[in-house]
Amino acid sequence: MKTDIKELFDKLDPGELEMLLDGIDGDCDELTRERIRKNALARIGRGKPERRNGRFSRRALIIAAAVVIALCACGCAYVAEAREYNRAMAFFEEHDITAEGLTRAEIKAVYRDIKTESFTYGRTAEVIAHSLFEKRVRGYEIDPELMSPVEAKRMWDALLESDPDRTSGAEGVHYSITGSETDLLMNITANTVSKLDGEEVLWSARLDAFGLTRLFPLADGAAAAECSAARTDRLKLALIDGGGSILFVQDLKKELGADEICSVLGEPDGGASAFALSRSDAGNSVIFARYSRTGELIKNNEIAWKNAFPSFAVHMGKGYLLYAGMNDVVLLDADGIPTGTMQIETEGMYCSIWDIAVYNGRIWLSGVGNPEGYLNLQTYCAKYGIIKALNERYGEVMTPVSSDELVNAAREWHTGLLFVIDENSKAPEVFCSVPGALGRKLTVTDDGRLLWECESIVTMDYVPYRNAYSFDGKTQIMEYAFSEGGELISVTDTGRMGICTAM
Amino acid sequence: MRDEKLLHMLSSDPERGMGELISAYSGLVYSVIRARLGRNAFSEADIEDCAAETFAEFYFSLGSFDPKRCSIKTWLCVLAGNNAKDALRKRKRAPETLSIDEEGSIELPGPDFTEDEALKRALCAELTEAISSLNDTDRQIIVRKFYLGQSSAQIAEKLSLTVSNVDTRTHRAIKKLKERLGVI
Repeated sequence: MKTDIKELFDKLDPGELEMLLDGIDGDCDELTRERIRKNALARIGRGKPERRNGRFSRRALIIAAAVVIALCACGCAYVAEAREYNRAMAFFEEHDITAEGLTRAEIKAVYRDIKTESFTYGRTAEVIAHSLFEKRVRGYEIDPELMSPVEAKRMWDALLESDPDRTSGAEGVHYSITGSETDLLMNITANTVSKLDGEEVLWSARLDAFGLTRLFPLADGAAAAECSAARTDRLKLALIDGGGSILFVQDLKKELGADEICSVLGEPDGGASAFALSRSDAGNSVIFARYSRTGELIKNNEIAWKNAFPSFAVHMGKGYLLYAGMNDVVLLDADGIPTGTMQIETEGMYCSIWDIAVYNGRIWLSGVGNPEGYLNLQTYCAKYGIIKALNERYGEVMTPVSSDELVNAAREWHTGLLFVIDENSKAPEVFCSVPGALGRKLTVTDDGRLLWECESIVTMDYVPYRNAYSFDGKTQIMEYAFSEGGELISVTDTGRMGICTAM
Repeated sequence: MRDEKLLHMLSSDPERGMGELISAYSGLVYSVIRARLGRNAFSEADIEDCAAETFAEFYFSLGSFDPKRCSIKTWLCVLAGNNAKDALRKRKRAPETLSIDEEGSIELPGPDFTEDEALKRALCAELTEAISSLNDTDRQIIVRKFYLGQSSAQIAEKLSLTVSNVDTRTHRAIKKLKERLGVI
């Protein structure tokens, strides 16, 4: 008798298959990959599915609608109607709402419904939901038919909040990308980095042939990085001084074989050190590259890397500390050679780090602790839904879920943590912990204080029509101020609210 | 490691994590599914849907994924194979089999082993060991040809070989496998 190798391949267990797949890859074109990505994201509640068949673009529909408007305007009898339609279209454009699939009458009806905040017209919810998909507002995958007027209003508020034009401009000194230039094929050919004080531009630096991906503000100037997806050619680092002059642009790919710049630090001599992750089937490595102010590569080391993405780096003594993701930090000497590792841990909690700062010769790490088992709960919840997860946990008492119960649960699952490390530390020590909160941003002020933003969870709501397996809540942003001696000087309510997603 | 980073990203920033995951493995997942569905008159859209479902399923099964047991790459392949099988089952169409020497079917002595899962498991283990014992190029050729369904031309391009070289190596590798498995 015969059997088929193909059939046997399908019966291999994962361990056996693992032995055979080394170096094996497949192929699919970019368009296919993009469609798979969009459809997979849609399936996990994070986007809208991509259709294979083409459809009319919104712009084309708007233009077509405008033509209709022009024709209608020719007849006086239609003037009033046309005016309302124009207003509706302007409103749609202002809020980036798509009119795709709507008739002229429906566009006006939706417009009236939203303007009067009645949210009772049948297609309003659908239009808002579609726009939320377009903007990828997290967590809102909606069945419009199930939406009540109150829920539709809530979605509308979410849509407004997602509009970047409505967010207030950044205050104080900050950096921004003020202009990206593209060629006819929409490839980015230049970027302009600007330093601003409020809305006043202090300087601008134009980086030609540079698709800027990340900006690393340094004490004196900034480092701009063009990070690429793995295995492409473009990976560049530019150093800009405090006056906006470009000191150098280096191509890390050619020199170092790295594929993503993770962190850049300013050095006392005016140069910079970059940490980049290089991925390959043979194993990942972190590339350490120390440049002089003129762009000369003066130190370079490749570190075998078994950790997660090295998202933060800071100076520690004469060397460096890299946050290696998950619960780990790696210590390096001045030549970028690893000298040790530390575990970020506290009893019974899984910790993740949000921010890192050097203050008073010590390193401070801000983050969140979740009780052991929380990740399993997250996964369980993602698979079976929130109600089932809560019922498993609370014994069938959570339907319907009250906001108060959710707040209590979310507070139980999160602890704001502030860790400190110095050169003599064997491990990060918990300096401060706040139950029911999220450790966030760390800032060292000009007058020598360390500010720790810690967000207390104050509301948590479950939205029945949502399919994102998460709750959205609001946090109250508290500011803890510490002196150089480590004393807590003050705890201030900033009056600002943050957003927290549990699960 | 890449897997650890991906797992962390999937947990902390699912959208970015999924993007990275799909960027890294969509080609492989797509190929695994295509090899199973493509010859059964499934459309490209069906194959893409199945691939998207595989990634979504991986995301939802993160809690049960054990990185010590296998890599993300392998686990995705397992899920992709299972999803393709499900799709075939839904169509109620039996998978095709191929003939022995040209396409890799192996003739076994003794009782009808397809009725005996234990024997089949044993054969899987032996086959794995036998393929692993091949040199790297031959192993890749066998896996690409019979697991991913790649043509000799595609394999030749991937491995920088000529098509005839791939065919010759395939023939020799199958011969070695048969010898190793004790099958004439």
